[in-house]
Amino acid sequence: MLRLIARRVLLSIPLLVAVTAITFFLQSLIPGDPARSLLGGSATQEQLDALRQTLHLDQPVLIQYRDYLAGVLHGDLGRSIFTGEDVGQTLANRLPVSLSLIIGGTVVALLIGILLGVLSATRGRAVARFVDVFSLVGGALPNFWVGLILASFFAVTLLLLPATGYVPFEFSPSLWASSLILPVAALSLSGIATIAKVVRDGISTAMTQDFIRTLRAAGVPRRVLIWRHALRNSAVSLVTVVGVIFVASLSGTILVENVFVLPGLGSLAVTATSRQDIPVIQGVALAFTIVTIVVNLLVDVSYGLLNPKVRTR
Amino acid sequence: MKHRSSLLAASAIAAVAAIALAGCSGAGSSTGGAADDRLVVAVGTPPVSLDTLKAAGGVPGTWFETPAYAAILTRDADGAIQPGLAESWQYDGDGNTEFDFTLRDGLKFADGTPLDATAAAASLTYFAATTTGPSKAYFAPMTFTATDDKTVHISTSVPNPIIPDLLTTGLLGGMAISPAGIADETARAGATYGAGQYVLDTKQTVSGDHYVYVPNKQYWDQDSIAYSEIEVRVIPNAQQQVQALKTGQVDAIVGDPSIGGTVTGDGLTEIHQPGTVYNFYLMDRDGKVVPALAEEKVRQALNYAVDREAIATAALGDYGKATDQPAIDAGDASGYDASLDDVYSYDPAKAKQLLSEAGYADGFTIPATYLGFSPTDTKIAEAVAAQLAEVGVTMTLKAEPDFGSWVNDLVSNTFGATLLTGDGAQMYTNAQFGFTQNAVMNQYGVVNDDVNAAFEKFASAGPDDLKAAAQAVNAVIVKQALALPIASNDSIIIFNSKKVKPFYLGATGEVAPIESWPKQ
Repeated sequence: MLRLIARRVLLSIPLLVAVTAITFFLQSLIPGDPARSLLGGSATQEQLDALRQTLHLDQPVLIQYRDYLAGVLHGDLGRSIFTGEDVGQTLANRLPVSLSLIIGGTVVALLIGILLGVLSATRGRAVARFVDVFSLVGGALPNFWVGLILASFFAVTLLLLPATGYVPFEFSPSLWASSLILPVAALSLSGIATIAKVVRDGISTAMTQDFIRTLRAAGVPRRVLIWRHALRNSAVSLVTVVGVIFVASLSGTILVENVFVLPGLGSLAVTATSRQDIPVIQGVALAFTIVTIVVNLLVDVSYGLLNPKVRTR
Repeated sequence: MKHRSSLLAASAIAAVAAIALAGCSGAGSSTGGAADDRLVVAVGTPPVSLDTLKAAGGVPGTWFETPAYAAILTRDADGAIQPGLAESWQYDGDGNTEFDFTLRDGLKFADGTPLDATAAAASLTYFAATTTGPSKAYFAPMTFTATDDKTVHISTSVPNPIIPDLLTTGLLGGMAISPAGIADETARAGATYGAGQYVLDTKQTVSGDHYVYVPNKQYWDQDSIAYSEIEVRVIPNAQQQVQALKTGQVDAIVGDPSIGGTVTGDGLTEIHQPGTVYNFYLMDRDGKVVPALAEEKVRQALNYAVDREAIATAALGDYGKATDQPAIDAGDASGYDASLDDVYSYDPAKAKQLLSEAGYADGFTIPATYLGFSPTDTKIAEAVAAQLAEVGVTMTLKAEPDFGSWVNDLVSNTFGATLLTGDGAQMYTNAQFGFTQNAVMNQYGVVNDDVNAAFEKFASAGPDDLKAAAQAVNAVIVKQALALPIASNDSIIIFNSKKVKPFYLGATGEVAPIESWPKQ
């Protein structure tokens, strides 16, 4: 298992370098001039040149990238061009918001998805059709649109939950929870649908297999058959799907955070991109990549735990 | 079964714990609006910087600055200049070139540093020399000298009849920056270094999302501090702002014509007042990119070709009024002249005739840029382009998604015109923004001797001559068609009247600084 983890970690290094390089060179192609954006139309050429020198924008892109990479290796992600804030600190401030949203969305999708999937596989056609329709609708509806509808109904009409904003857990657990309910609901909808289908298919397949028939003949109650044995049979595909949903939620947060005005990495990415705040854009891309790598690593480790054959490869 | 239940329970606890842990130590709170002694206002875009040298002027740009940066002078509800950090002020002699102000006793910046005449002069000198914002043109010709502990003398090489106005918060330079702030340009971007009623709480603030200001214990008039905290929240979308207002998460928002009149609810109130004018600035008046724009008749033809009434009604509704001039009726210094409102009544036939006389009977093309992220700007730009097409003039529009891209267009000198709102209330800033040789909107550096002569006379005018002199500048701008004015544009504030009471500063079109809004 340790060898598996070590191999995955080593493989992630070139991936990280590739992502930072691609991000860096792509953002250098965006038209416009951050120095001009910061200083405005009245700035003299001398002021513009001085700022470009301060920000190293006067250097060739390759040199800029080399310096950036050297900084990253020393734990220095640079400073925001506009706010002057340390990018590492900015990411540290905003990552918990996004993680709350993504982990919350994934957990909700998992719990409700499993429940719906099991019901669909065991309670007959009507429930199965409902899950099919729900999957279709859940997969088709954009999460930002769902978010707008939820905010309009639960926040504006019923005044039950906040329409926008975020409260840290340590400030108030109850306000933290209420600030996350609608965004998590919007983010988790498509995940619920996907997981429900995977679980239903897994259980339906498992229930026709010999080991289930044997257990049933031995008098094992149906509830135990489903929850302990059949569900476990679909665990590997479930872990795969959960990993995919988690990673997909990273991009989903960009829209959901903007709909609910949450100060996470997604909204930071939008602001930084519109301003061409290069160090922040780089930082967000790096953070998203690291989260993706960690999730994939956890998925691989889960495979190993669920299937001993994987550990021996 | 028991084993399974325990496993499920443990999993659920672990999941909740994971989410809670993820939520710890994150960004500061941004949903707590509604406490009675806390003011929360929403704006659409984050500040480019908290640095007053780089900040956007006007509303809501100055909302990020005024709570923390007190100005030398202030305005009252009638728009009249009142004491601020300074308790007295006056021009010395005639000609509007020498000015003094005297500070109050015992002033301190938020960090405890004394705010004496030396510190005030240093702040003003630094601002004048370093700012790159729109105020640069007004401050750059001035020098600032501390003549004693409390008095600062201002001398300006260009006559300036609005020095007291420049020392208020509206144009940013009047807000005093501490010596520590002057010494650290980088730090000013994310923290405040003023002597205002409040100071930015960096621990509660999440840059780009919300900015929290707490009372400044060093402020000279503690009794005037009305709120326990002020929060300026960035909510990008107008509908999201309305939702936050309706649910009590914020107490006031800046409205626009698309939502004006539509926001109803318990205690929700709207105020609006003209402050700016939508102009197509015809920048290339020397005809470097668009030769036709060098012809006065062509520029006049463009003014005749536009049905302003129809555009104003469609784009601005009750929040704008068609106008042929770049000024609004906001007092003597605005330059507004009612007789200039009907110089160019809608007349496409006259427009075609003038184009023909100028040698452009077959029309020509004007590349133009505008702020495409504003729905109102988009409506106006597209309507103007459609109406110009009726007389054979093709206006090719470039909609920019952000302010920085628009600035880059402006300085590229490849566009003949641009749509923007100009300050209609104050001809001194209006002319220097759009029409004098060094104006920000005169990137081609066009020299117009008539404008210069009228402006010089206005700049040195005394109180008795000010109105006529300002109107003379306006008359040159309108009659020579240096711009294509469309409509006055109201600023709109929608707020919870049970909580706060925003107000305008007389006819200036400026909303009072948020920290001065009375609690209800």
